[in-house]
Amino acid sequence: MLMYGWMKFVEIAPERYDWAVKVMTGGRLDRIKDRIAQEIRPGDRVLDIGCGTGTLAVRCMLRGATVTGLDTSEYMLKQAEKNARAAGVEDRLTVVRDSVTQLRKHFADQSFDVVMSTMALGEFPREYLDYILRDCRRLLVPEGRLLIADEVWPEKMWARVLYKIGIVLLWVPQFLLLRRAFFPIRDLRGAIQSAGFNVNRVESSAASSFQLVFAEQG
Amino acid sequence: MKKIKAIFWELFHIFFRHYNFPCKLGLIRVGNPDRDSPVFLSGNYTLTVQRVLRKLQGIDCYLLVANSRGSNVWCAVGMNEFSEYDIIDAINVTGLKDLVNHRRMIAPVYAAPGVDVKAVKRETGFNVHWGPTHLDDLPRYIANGFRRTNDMFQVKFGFQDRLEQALSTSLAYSLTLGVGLFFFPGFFLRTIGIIFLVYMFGFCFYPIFPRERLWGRTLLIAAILSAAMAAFGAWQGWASRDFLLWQGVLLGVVLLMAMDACGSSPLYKTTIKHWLTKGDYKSLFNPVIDPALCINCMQCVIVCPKDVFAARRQGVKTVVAVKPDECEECLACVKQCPTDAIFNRSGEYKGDVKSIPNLHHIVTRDWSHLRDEDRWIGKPVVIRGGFPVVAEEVLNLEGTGTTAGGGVLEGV
Repeated sequence: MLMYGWMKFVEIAPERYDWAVKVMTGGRLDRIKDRIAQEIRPGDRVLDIGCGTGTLAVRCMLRGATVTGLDTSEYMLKQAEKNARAAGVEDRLTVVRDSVTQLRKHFADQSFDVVMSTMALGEFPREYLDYILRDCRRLLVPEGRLLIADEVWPEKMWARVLYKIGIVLLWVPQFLLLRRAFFPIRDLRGAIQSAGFNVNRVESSAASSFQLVFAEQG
Repeated sequence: MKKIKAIFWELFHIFFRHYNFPCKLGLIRVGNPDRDSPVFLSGNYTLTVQRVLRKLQGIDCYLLVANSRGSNVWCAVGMNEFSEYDIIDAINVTGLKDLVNHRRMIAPVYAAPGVDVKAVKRETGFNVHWGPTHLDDLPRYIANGFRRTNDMFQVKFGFQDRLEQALSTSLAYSLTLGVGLFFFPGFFLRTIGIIFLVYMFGFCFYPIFPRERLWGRTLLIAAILSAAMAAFGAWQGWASRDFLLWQGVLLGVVLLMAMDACGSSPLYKTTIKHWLTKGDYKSLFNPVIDPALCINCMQCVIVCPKDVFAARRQGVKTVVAVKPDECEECLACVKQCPTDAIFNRSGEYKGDVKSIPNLHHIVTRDWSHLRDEDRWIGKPVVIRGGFPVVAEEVLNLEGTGTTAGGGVLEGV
């Protein structure tokens, strides 16, 4: 019942979702979003896959970019528009409600300078990632950049063992707070490379269980 | 060895049924499927996929495993974690369109509260057909030429389901109490024992107790268990302090189970507040159909797990709600109704399902123009052509047919 209460609490109001994620990740996600936004230049056309409540999109728009946010949840998109209005940048935000495998239905080839995604691709297995990244490549201009931040399985063996223990211990509180299991990505770097991108830099944090990958059209 | 491993994992998943266990997404080939083989859909809850695969053994077909975040589809659609988007993703990524000639997908009907079948059709061309409610009925459904008979529509809560529910719920609560074991091992071990005992008793003997009315069922269960414990305590010569303590724990657990029943069985879904104030498990939502809006597409009849609806087959051809009090508020009918013809008598709802964008408007609309529809409540129903039909209309129909020598049905 405690579980149920939390589920309701977080699900009913997406504005609480940000707060719950913040509690869960200890503010780490905010820092990473700031880090990603630093990469954005004024005038960039940005696609945010799984934009959620738009906290990253707003940061990018404040730096002068125009952002298209894609999400399947109407509640989340409404909250994103609300957040954009609060920041006074709603004229630079477009939201699209559809699923991540439908990118090419909505956008023409080479229509973005940047494609980014935080904590959205984690639930997909490799076949899905390959499909999505292939689409991203077509949507990006020749010098286009790809910025992906997500939970990953650590690349080093010892870190993987520690991580597994951590997951087991954190399982219950995470389930209570977010009512969803996190699904770390195996070999994020490899998936991005095999889609044809050049990986410029990988920044790891939290005992290398979180990666921010900077890549470019190859 | 392989068999022992399979049994171990089956038991593991039964005990941990309350937690997410995602399995691999994608397309599974069962047997040797070809371009005309049927396509079945499933969420990616490991236990379900294991069981569906076992049921599909010996049939050449595809099983498309779409992303339900490691939950069963019934819970996932309620939380808006499984929707048409997940089905579209799975079809896109697996390239299913190029693998089969047909565009027919048999989906678990428990996904109906959250899946917009028109969107799946629009984006992928696939027609979603709702399969049987229980996967045990899959072989029968296939043998029947991929047609559901009425008994496959209804939700059942069989002995095995009840046993699994009791074990997994007890385990979930026991794990929550597990921390206490470090401090008061004796107390918490006994409490966990009582939790298992109460849940096993309540769920295993589920059908022999009367239906909950004015808390009667809960009080009966409490009385039986309390008397049994008193007898045991007297035999063991418990001190009166222990006697009171354990009776208190027992009654607490019975109360917990009673409140759990507001949503832990597939038969009822209501709020704890409703149970506390009214003493039964009736849902807040109480459907009534506007005959002016109903286009007789039968979608609500097909997706309803509680047989709330029946068709009228004389003169006016619409669907009516004959057993609205049986409704368990899964809202599959509201989700699937193409004309928003379903109104709500109570104006209240629990609001679990979050995939219906205008849900609040639909269920709180004024329904006063439909008071006349109350006349269908409790009308007997017969099965015609696999669908429930209001009985008196069938009798009239058949009666008229006989006296008029058959064929003269209209305008009587």
